[in-house]
Amino acid sequence: MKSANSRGRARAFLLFFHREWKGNFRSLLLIFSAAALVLYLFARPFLGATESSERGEAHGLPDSLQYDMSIVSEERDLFIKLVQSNLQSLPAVRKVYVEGEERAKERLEAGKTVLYIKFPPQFSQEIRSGKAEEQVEVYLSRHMPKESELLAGFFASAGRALSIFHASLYAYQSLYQEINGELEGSWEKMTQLTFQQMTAVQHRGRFLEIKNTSPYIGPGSFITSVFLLFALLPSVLLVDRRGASLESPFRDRVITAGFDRVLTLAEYAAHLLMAAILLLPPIVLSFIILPGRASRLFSLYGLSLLAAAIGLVWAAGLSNLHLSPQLRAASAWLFVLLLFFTAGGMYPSELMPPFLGRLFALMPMSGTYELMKQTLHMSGDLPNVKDVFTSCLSFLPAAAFYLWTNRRRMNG
Amino acid sequence: MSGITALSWLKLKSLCGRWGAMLLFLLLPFLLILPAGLAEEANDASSLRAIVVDLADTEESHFLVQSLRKSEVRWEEMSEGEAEREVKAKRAMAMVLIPEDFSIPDKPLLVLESVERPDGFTVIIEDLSTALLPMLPMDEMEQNLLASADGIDEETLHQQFLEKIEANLEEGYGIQFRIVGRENMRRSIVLSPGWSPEILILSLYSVFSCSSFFGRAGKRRLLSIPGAYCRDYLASLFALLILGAFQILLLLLGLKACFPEMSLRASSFVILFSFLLSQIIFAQFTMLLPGKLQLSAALFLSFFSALAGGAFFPLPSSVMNASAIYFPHGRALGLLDGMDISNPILYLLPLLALSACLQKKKLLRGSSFHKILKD
Repeated sequence: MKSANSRGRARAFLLFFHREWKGNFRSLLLIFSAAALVLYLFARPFLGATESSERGEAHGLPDSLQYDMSIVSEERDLFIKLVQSNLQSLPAVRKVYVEGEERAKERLEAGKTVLYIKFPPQFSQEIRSGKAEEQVEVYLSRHMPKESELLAGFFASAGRALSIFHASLYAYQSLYQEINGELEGSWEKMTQLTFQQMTAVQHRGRFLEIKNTSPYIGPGSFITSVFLLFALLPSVLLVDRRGASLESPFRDRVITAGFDRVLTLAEYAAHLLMAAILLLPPIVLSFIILPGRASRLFSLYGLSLLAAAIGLVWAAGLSNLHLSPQLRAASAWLFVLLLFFTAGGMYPSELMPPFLGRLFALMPMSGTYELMKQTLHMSGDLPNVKDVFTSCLSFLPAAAFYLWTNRRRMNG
Repeated sequence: MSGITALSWLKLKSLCGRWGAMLLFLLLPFLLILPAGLAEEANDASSLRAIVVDLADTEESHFLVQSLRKSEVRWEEMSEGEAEREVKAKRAMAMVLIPEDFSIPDKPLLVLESVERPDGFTVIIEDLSTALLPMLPMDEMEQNLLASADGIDEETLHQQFLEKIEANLEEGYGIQFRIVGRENMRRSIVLSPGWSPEILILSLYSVFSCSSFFGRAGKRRLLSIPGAYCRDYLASLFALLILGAFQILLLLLGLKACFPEMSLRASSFVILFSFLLSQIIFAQFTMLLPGKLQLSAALFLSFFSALAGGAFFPLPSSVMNASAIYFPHGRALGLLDGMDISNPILYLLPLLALSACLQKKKLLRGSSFHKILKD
């Protein structure tokens, strides 16, 4: 009898699954097409990209996330070369042009450079004489406002370094004169020394040993956010479809026949399969942006499915609430927005104040999203079974919420 | 005209009378923009705290520590044990060890451990690199001076050299950078979503409020009264725009009140208002779809427009310029970020007229009034 029951339930499951799948197929097709189109638009700048520089590669930056800049100076002397090589050593900088203002402005306005730095005329002469009266001006691109601001931020520290360098050159000159009793030859010596140090500037990273840290892959947080968002989309569909079905006579018949749980399971499984399909465009996008990291990207795919599974349990719970179709749709989208925001998909959780950080860490998606982020860290280990198990604990509050709302629904 | 005003007032009252709508219009924006604003404030190098442990305790190491302290990042010096405790307790994001044998050799000078905030990693590395940068030629210069100096011991020369550098720095030797047009610019740590929460809120508002006013079957009876449809349409539009403008004002004033240091441009209101108008038009077009699909389709289309426009996470400029600015959300975000693109407000008016005509046509189709006209 028991085996017949199990067979019956299995058949019912397959039937319900087929019904759910058929009912959702058109929506899935439309959403998948829209997702593929949007992600193609995201990937387009990366598709035609040339090889990224070695430095960019080392920081996980593809060519499209590296930027060119210009230096405007009438002089082409040692000082300008020093500034050029210093800027060129920044990970996000691909090329630094030294050119006239007209050309630099043209490039900036065409959106080809992220900023240009304008040294006043005779600047090198002025700093040779001691103090440079005029300031060095930095013009930012209006085509890339965020990146130009981010890069311009480094000028504060670069300015400090150059100031110390400048002050030490004069200290050297003054001491040279005191020791040798003459000034002649000190500039030549300094020039010679500076040339020697140019290579040191390029390789200054070798003086730094980095332990216990796993830096971000440049576009890593962007990719994990895309994965999380797509993993949560089936939850919206589940709330909408299941919410509507709970008020239908079909559901009443299923409940009377004692197959309510089987139907819920079939709904859940169909939406999980939809999540697996909807996560295909993001994985193609991430292979385009970050090629050669297959194991990390497949782990990310697996973790996103886990996020989808947790989100679907919450969504099933939400669909049990008696809400009007309009309010149900609103609550489903707000729920997704809330999960996405509190997990750190929009703002990295590190930027949140400590009290909010602690609060957000308790939210349903935070643990899984942290794991997803770790997966894309360059030198970090891939998540192990223990990490995944800890993340699976998020199922418990979701299941409790589902059971509570389900009991309320059954009790009318 | 007075009829339209009275009708608009009635529609405003009906929209404000729903608790769900009020929750959406008033509470949700602040639940989103407050943490977002706090995160924006923390996206500044001055919010990073790092610790330097000077095991060498030499003139050079002191010089290096002084140089680090001039950065926007809050560099603090303490013992190794204290530093480890601070990093473990996540009160400091990084710990840098200056080893006992610190000099300028061709081997790692500093050891950086435990960066608790990966977002600040690049800032810390750049700070360290730029602090080290002038020390390399300084050492070379000192060696060079020592070679030509007779009768001066290394320590005295070293002392003199450092003193002269510090004196020169005090005298004002150095180079000052000025960011043209952004004099008081902060040093951001990562790309931030900027106005994304506000854009998402307005997007949700327009879809939900439009679904309450447009595309309703009950409006057919308006067709039997001359001019009633037009008055009703205009009143609905005015009510939505007035409430939307009120919400934008509330958002801007709320932002200014909570984050007084945030710089708001006068054009922000115009940009947000034109975005709102574009969303209302977009929602009206989706109301042309068959009844059951209207809201879901509007929400999904709005979601994909927000996604493509970069409203969920900051998109790199390469993606913004290539595609995102061609979506309403992306264009609004680009304009708010100061991108060199035009505001589409003028193009929206013909679209608004088109959507109104299509709405009317949809109502006419299949109605008894339509049949009478046909006969």
